[in-house]
Amino acid sequence: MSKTIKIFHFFPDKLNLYGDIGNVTALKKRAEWRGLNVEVVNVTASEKVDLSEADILFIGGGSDREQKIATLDIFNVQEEFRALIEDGIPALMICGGYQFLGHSYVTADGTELETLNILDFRTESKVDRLTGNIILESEQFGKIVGFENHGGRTYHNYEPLGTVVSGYGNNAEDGGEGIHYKNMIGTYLHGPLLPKNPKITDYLIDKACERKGYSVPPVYENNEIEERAAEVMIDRLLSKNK
Amino acid sequence: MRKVIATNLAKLGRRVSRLRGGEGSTIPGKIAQRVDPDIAKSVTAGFDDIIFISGTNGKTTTSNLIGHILKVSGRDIVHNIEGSNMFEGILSSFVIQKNSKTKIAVIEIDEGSIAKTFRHFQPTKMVFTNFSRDQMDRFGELDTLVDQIIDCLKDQDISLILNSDDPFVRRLAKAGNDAIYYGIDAGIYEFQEANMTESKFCPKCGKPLDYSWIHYSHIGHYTCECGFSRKEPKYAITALSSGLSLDMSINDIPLKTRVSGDYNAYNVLASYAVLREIGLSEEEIIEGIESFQLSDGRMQYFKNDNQNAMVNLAKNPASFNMSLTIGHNIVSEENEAVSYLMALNDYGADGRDVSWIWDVDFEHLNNENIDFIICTGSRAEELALRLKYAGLPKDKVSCNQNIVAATEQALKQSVHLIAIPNYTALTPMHRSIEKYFKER
Repeated sequence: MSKTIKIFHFFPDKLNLYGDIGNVTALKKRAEWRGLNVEVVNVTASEKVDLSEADILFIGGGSDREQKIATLDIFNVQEEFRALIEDGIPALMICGGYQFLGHSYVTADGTELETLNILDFRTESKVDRLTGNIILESEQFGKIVGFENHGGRTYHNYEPLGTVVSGYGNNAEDGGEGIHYKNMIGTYLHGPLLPKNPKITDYLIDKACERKGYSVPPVYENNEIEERAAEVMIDRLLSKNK
Repeated sequence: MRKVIATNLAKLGRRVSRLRGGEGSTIPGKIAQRVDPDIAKSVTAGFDDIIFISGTNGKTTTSNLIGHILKVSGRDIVHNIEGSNMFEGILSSFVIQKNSKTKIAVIEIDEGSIAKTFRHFQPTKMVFTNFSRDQMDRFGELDTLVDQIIDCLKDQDISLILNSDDPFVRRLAKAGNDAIYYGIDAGIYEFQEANMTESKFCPKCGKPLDYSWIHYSHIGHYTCECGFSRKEPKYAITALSSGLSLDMSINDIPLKTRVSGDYNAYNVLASYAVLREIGLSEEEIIEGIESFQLSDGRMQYFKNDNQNAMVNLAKNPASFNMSLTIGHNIVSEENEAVSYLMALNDYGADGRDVSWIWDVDFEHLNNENIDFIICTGSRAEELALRLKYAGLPKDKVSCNQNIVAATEQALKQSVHLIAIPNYTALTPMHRSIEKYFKER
């Protein structure tokens, strides 16, 4: 019997900045390489979907305007969404998707936007953006490479995705980047994140398989080009410090 | 007197900078301004028309075409052909090129430099081509960029020449200036364009736009329930065909061009519109268009007895998809195998964020007969990674960051080559290809 996982991609029509679609491409390909069937469900309006069908959740980033439309829509399923994250569904939330999990988001001009209030953290946006290539160090995933571009400064006491080695991170102050809560990862890293960081991709797929009761050993196929693409940036940014 | 000294010193500065191996395109402006802080006002005075051309794609081609047509018609112009489209470079062009007979200036301007330049002087006319997402690394998001430009245009005596088919460009009318529109009729032509992930939402109210016809990407005939819609253009392409070069009719007047790449239809149309508006005759414009050739690596074709190649700049998903979809038909007549040379640099002028390559439809290449693909530039490996996840066979893809070496290798091994550089990769790649075909 064929083993299927379903990736729920929220608002691909609105939240699709900076190549975030590459994360879905990476999840799909790497799951297929280990013999799984993959179905990508594009969620454009939350009321039409049955979230209990989801095995992996993905939300990308968008402009403030599109983010607002998306958040309003997701309120329809706020409780189901919270329950899934608490239950350990693997999820990846980029930029705006990450910010809107918190309890408050204040835009650069001081307006407070409504957020999903799933986790206890806040974000304040400023006009000057934190932009550039970034490298993190994480115990679980090793070096993580990406590109950040955000006006928001996020402050929380949860476990971060990693520690900033080069770049700004959550708020350019406390040295943390992103969040890792149960099996949910929130981050400001575009680039996109997953293709150059296959350990994170495989982790999300592993967790999806665990929850489904599939024993599908990860096929850690040749990751040479993934590693070389990451190395280009690691060499460039870290050789400066030598 | 100050102005004369400033101008002469500026010209000297250019010479010195060139001797030292620089391009010398911004130095004169900087020097002139140091000597005479009001130089920008005085050197731009006395013109009948100063035309600015801006937008994401097509501004260089459009401004070169407008400049060419005016020169062929015998007019003296200031034109920032030296490739510098930010304030200092623009100022340099005025300082160096203006003489007593010059009455028209044709200026390509970077979207991000509009505000700064407007603090010194304003154009009489402004042409906008299109807005898409290649500069977000530099400007934040597209909405913000459009709002910033509207703020600049407000209360200025500038007439706008706008692409009615692009909702973001159409939105500039909000600034309240006089505006005329250009566009392409629905149903007369199908662009060779792959699927796109550009935003198709109303720039006014945020709801999805309703399209009755899409030319490509978010460019087409649209309306929104809030009342926002495409405006009937004064200048319209009423017929279009694309072979090795484009033939078209503008308001039913036929003309033949020597440029290929169907998206150049908009650049030809925009040039025609603005030049009619400043009083050139149909005949003058058509004569100029029909003698214009691209020569800067934008959609250029090379050929000798044994092989051919095309090179086309791609700096965002829209322009990259264009090259991927039309390349095969241009270099190979039957379904012969083609090769690709793709360059991705990430220097300041390119945008340091290369994530847009994940929005390019490389998956499309799986349906093509491909000999090999060479990735080059400072982020060559990133391209190769993208191609792996697009499903292309590993043994067909290789990397070499050195652009000149990669180009020479590609030319040696290929019969039909499609070369796609991004901004700063263009010059080294283009020069190598030109040299190769000159020698053989």
